[in-house]
Amino acid sequence: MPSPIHTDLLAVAPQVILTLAAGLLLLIEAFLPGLRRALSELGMLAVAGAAWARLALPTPGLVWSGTLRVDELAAFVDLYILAALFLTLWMAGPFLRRNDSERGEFYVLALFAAVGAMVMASAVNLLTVFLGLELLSIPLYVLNAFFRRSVISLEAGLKYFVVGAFASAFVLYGMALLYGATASTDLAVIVAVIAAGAALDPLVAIGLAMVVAGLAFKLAVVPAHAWAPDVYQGSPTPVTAFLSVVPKGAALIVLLRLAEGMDLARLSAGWVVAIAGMAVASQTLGNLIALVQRDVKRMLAYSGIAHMGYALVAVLVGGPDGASAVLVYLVAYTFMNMGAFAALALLSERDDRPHLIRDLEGQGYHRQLAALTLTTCLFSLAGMPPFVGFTAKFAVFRAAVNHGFVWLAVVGVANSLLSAAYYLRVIYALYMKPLPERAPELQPSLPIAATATVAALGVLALGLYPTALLDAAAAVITSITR
Amino acid sequence: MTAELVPIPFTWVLALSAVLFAIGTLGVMLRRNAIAIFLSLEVMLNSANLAFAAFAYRFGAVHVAAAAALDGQIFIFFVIAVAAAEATVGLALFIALYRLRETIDVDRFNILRW
Repeated sequence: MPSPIHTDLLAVAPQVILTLAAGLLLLIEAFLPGLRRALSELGMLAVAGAAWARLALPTPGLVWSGTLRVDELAAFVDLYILAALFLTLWMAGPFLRRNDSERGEFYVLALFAAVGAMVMASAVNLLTVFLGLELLSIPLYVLNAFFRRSVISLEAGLKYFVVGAFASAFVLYGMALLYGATASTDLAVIVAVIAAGAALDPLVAIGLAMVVAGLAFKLAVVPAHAWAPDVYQGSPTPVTAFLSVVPKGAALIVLLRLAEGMDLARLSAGWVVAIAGMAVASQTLGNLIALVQRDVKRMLAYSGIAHMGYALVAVLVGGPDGASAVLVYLVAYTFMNMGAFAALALLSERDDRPHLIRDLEGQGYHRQLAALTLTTCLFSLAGMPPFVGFTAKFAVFRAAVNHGFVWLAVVGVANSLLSAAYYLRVIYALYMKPLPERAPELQPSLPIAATATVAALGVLALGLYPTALLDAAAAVITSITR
Repeated sequence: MTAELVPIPFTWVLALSAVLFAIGTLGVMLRRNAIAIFLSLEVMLNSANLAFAAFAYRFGAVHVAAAAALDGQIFIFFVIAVAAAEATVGLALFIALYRLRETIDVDRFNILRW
């Protein structure tokens, strides 16, 4: 029984608002040059409108002939994507002006990418998963290469394009095989067929493996991680911030929807070994290579690889506490990463130069606010209390221990200790080294500083009152499994 | 008189799509010219389309699964549109790179490395 059209439309109101706003911004860019300076603010207004719509409107469940499932989980992920988009747009305006590249397409593409991620968050059909994935990826290829006079930005765009399109082709071929094995593109049907014992059917096994491999590229987990450092370093910093949280979140939610129905951990030993292997390899390799990085953005790329390793542990252990740990991790990771990259944008002169740790020396007393926010986010990324990074890791490892994956928790804790070394190296440079003679004079920028401060306050507030976040995530998972 | 037309077996179509996918994958990994890599990516996407078509063809022949055939056929149209969007962005990127460096050999883009 298809739902009525007004239910369908209201269910995707946030996506509709963002799409219309993106069209409007394009028109303003083309025909109203006087308003160009306000595009970033108009975009933020649209995001606020979309967030309001998501909070105020009901979540009806299955809509659009059963291809989208707008449930509590989708609403939660939508809000997290909108928060990341809001912070990205906030810092993007002054950032682009400082690098002489302000063009309205930036905001338009960012809005479209967010719509794609939100489609993925509620997609329960192979078709909507694929379309969401592409709507997320294609604008990001352009955003990576946004500084089109800069070779490293174009190189980042080229690499992300080739790797991203390659991953999409894998996902698509895997979907074709799953469709062939189950005669359906509906995730619920596919999951039911697999759970009923088709897991060892070669068509299903290969198809599922290809879909998971394609999503692993988006998550940048080992062995599909090699693109991340180059793309992180080459992309404009606000794009890096967006790229480091939104596609990963969307891909994790698709994995979660797949894993939740199948009870991955009990499906077959092969899957457990494969995913646990990916998680452990990502954590260990990410942290080890991050230790020797000299560029902060590359270091954060490897740190991101390690963090997705922790998140995969939560996906693997499954169950209500595993699933809610994934959500907690996503929110925590978003605030930490957005804050770190915004602070980095504040501390670096021009974006097309490397962001060396050496260049941050002595900035702790020179640019106090930026250094303080960066320090907060790095401590949180290292998983130290009282910041939200600790809450997230605690939730993940608690779920792992409760489900009998004690060894994964032990590996994770050991890796967290290891990771503290490279985060502390940056903090050491900030506060323990003298300011060099010829320190670059940076133009202060209120919006970027505000972005960094809001993100850092989020890190601190959610870290001090973790129950709010933990309860919200648990409530979301309870409501969808009920 | 012409011989009666024998329909092509579904497995042949599926095998062709798998071979095309493998060719595309190898092309992306081995070729160094950006346009050649891009062509290989398109081959990969279209091999998946062919797999969808093959499965839809089989489901269409079975009465109980005839509705499922439609799902696969619709998928193909969306993939064609997505591939066109990807082509636009990819080619625009290559042109921007060519303007800057006068080459689209991917081995020449290696400023970023660890």
